[in-house]
Amino acid sequence: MILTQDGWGTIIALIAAADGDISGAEDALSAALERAVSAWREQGPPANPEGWLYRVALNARRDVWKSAAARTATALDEEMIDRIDGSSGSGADPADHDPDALPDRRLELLAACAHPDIDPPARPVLMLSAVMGMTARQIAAAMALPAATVSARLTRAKKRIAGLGVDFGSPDRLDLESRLPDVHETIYGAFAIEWAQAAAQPREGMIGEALYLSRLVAQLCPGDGESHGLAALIHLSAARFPARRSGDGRFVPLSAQDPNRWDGPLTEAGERHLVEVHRCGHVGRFGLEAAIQLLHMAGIRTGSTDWPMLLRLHDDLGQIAPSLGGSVSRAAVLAEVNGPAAGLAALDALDADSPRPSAFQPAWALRAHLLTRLGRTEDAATARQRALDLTTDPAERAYLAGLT
Amino acid sequence: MRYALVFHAPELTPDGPQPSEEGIQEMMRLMDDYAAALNSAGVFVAWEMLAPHSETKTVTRRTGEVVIEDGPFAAAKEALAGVVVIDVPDVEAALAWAEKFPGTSYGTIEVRPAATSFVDGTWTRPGDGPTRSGDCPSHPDGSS
Repeated sequence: MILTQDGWGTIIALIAAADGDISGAEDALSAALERAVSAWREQGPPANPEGWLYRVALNARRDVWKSAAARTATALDEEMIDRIDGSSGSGADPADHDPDALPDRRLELLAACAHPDIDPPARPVLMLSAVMGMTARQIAAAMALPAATVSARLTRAKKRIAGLGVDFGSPDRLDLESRLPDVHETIYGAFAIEWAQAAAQPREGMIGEALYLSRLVAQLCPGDGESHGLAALIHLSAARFPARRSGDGRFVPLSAQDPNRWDGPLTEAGERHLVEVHRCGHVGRFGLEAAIQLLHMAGIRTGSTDWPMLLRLHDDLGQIAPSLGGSVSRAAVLAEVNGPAAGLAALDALDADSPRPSAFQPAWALRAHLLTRLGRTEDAATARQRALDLTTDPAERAYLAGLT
Repeated sequence: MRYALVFHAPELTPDGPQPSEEGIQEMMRLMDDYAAALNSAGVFVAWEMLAPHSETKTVTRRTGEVVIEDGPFAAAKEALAGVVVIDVPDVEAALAWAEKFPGTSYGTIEVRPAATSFVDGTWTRPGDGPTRSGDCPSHPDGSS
């Protein structure tokens, strides 16, 4: 591996920030990587490989700008080149460039990938390509999409960004912070991908990539509570991934999971990010969801769950980010605090408010569970059948069917 | 009640973009998973993926005599590519399955209720009762 993922994103961010052309920056870096293969074989790798690659890629890019300027007869935008040249002299030997001195402009690149003008489904795809250097093929495999679909989305999205021009590289910190929620949503979207298939087996998908991106944002915005909240949520969720299915592929609900099958280092990383959330003093949607998950996990590990605290967290979450899924979870917690009848009443209230509650499988599964606890066996069976009708995953169906 | 999941997708043309062998294998695997899920849920009735429209014959006797022609008259950008018939209680369940159809990543699924179906030698309508045994389409609150 000539270049790390960090190195790829850093160099692309620097070069693309000049004119907003991500494709151009990728072509230039690819050319530099090609040159590195032969140059480094002959002369040995330079002391600062990233600096070398940056400088060579930048030179390749400048050649394109110059020829474009010559072709269109418009004045060459010297300012544009100066902007990324920074203090280093243009004649300097690439090998002399200090990689530690490469400014990190990946936050701007992340914000560009999550730009409101880009179609939401294309945003994570763009991030994986521009920030992490994944190919369309690799992304297609991770998302279980046809490679042609991914390529088309990428091309369209990169054109859009190029159309934004230098605005994408806005160095205005305040402006960047206002765009963080879109960055968070995009990374979470890459993680909590709604599998467009009736998968017989859970897929790893883009868990590794989402972990990397969430760590990156938290690292680039160490004072932002929600960035740490997102990292905490993704790490804690990913930690439980191996425990979601038993050895023979059966579905295992959270409450029945074996904590020993949770990933220790990921859990600890999630806990550390949650500590950072509190240090930052700002708890948002992702921070709350992470705290809820950690409380559930602690409860399962110790055998005693702090339901009243969970209810408070759910109430807060409902305030700042109401959602159907969140309301159903809250009803489940309410049933633990005030009894199944209270949970059922909350579900009924939900049905009255939502446009399509009758199609929401988790609501029916919870209803079946609460009706069973109330001894209303017949009603419970009806609700369970309804949940089954809406469940496509065979493992989940088998689990629901076994609850009778 | 029976629903047809009618799948439309762009047809491959010799000069258009070709899917990779890897991509085809992956899609076949996803389709296979989907068929297995339909089967294990007990909602499967039939599934036909169709040959390209160039291999289609059209038959009509509208003019009084039998006319057989090659292909449909107009080639649309998206052509009928397949039909999956499932037997589920209502449109919400049909939609839940349609959402998971792997081909939606490159085509469109139309969810169409059957008006009447010829099952086991007789015509049945949705109102005649469940077309599959063990069906339980009722809801506690009467909504659907």
